[in-house]
Amino acid sequence: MPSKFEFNKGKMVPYPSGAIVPDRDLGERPALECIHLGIEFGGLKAVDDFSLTIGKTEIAGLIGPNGAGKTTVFNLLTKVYQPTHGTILLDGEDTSGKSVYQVNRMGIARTFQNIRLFNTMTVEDNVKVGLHNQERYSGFEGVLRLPTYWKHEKAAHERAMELLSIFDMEHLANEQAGSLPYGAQRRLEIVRALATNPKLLLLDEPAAGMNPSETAELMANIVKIRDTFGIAIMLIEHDMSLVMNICEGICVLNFGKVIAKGTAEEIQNNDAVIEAYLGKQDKGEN
Amino acid sequence: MTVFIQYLVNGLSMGSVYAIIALGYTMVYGIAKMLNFAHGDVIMVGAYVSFCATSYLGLPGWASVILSCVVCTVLGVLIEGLAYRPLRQAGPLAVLITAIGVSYFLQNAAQLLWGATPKNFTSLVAFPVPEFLAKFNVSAVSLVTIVACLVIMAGLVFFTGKTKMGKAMRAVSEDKAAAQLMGINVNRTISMTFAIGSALAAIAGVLLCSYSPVLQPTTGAMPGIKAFDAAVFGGIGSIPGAFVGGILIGIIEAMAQAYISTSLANSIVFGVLIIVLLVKPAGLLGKYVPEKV
Repeated sequence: MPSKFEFNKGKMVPYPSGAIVPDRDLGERPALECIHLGIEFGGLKAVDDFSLTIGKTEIAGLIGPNGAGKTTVFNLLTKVYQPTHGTILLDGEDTSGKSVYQVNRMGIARTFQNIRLFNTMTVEDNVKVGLHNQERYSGFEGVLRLPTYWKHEKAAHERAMELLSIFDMEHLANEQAGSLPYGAQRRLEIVRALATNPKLLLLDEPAAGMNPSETAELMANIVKIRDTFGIAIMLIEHDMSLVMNICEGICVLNFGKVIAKGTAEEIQNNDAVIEAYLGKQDKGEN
Repeated sequence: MTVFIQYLVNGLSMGSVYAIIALGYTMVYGIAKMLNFAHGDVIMVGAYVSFCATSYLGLPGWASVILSCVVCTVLGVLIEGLAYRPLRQAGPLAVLITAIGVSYFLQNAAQLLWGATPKNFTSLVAFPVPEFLAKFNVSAVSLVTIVACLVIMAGLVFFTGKTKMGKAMRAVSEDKAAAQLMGINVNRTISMTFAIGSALAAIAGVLLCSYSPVLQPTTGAMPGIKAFDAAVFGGIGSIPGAFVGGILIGIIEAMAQAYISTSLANSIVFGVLIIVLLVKPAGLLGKYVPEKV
């Protein structure tokens, strides 16, 4: 007897050809599959019929004019908002009915448009919060400082340092996160997200407020993270040089709808995209 | 001089009780950002449980304290789950009123269960005090209370600072949404905070009634408010703040009773709070957080 649960897994939903790099071999299970995803806020469709597939170890870009619904898509993926339509498959597993922290445990981590570090905690502790679910000891063992506690805390410390070393931030481990310079805070957010051991990393405007040289460094680091961790990365960004350079697939949103998907070249020459950004060309009005 | 030291010791030990209660207040406030006004009544329940365990079940003192901790922990988690969790998204006023409701509910439930007649709580702590301390009228209860308070406070500082649950608590305290997105189960973390706070309340209840043996349904109300006072005094949300606040409130109260007036003591305690808040609105060790514009 097919259970209700099986049905909810989204197996009945027909797969659209949503791969943003169609000729790419995605393997059996892509890192992320959104199928007809949508959310309505009291009749307003903030995101409508959003279908997208991101392969493992793919870097995908999500762009669009202000208010297009890009951050809403991130909020749907991380279950900050429960989608009203559609299915999200993460590494082949359905995330419907999961809450925010459960989805994180399944493998989605994110950073924020406005930096949201734990400002009063040290840099190392911020990373250790991300490691929370990989440290396994009970509160009892912690208070009594049993060997398990020391073993796990030592491992967590080493792991935190290792993660910080991606951005050469080990020497900042004991600084307060809130007192770091802006660029370092942005990098720490990425490290903290990586600490949760994601399969898919969502970066919300990682280059916001950075100068061109910092952006170039960030670009190199995003690629480095993908290569080191073998994870998929999806980023929202307004800096077109970054998006066009490192994203293997780009998805353009406008008014909550996908208006174009494809490689950087295809997007740059797409009429609908040019119209969304610059307005209609023929009559010269905006 | 001897008399002064006696008053000081009284103040210290009463202050330690306030500090233990205030630690519960401050933990819950710091992490769940709500004032659990029912905290004082959990103290009362803790004392009643211990009383029943020793008087009716004939358990030894230490066993009754453990039983009382267990019962209060369960009670605290239940209160949080049934009364406060549904209001997680509601405004702070709704939660505050609910907390006051829970407080009255506990008081009246206790009255129904154990009657309004005050019970005579026999002190659970009794051992001979060393000669040089006995001279200053230091009782066994005082010693145990002060030591218990120090141990609890050190334990909590370690727990919140160095363990992964403590880090999760601090993360939840700072930014619930971000903590959740880092894979932290916010509801479980808040439940755990209530569990710890309520276990402390049980210990405080037993110590409180070992001092003043009159146990009735309203026993927890006044110490609860004074401990809240202490938590605010020291800077609510701060663990060392609650400790310092509790001790200071205890000493101020004892000195006011001794040298000014017994009946005015409470007014003086709260008067000092008002003055401190006028000068330092975030409390002694609290951090002033400017509003973001």
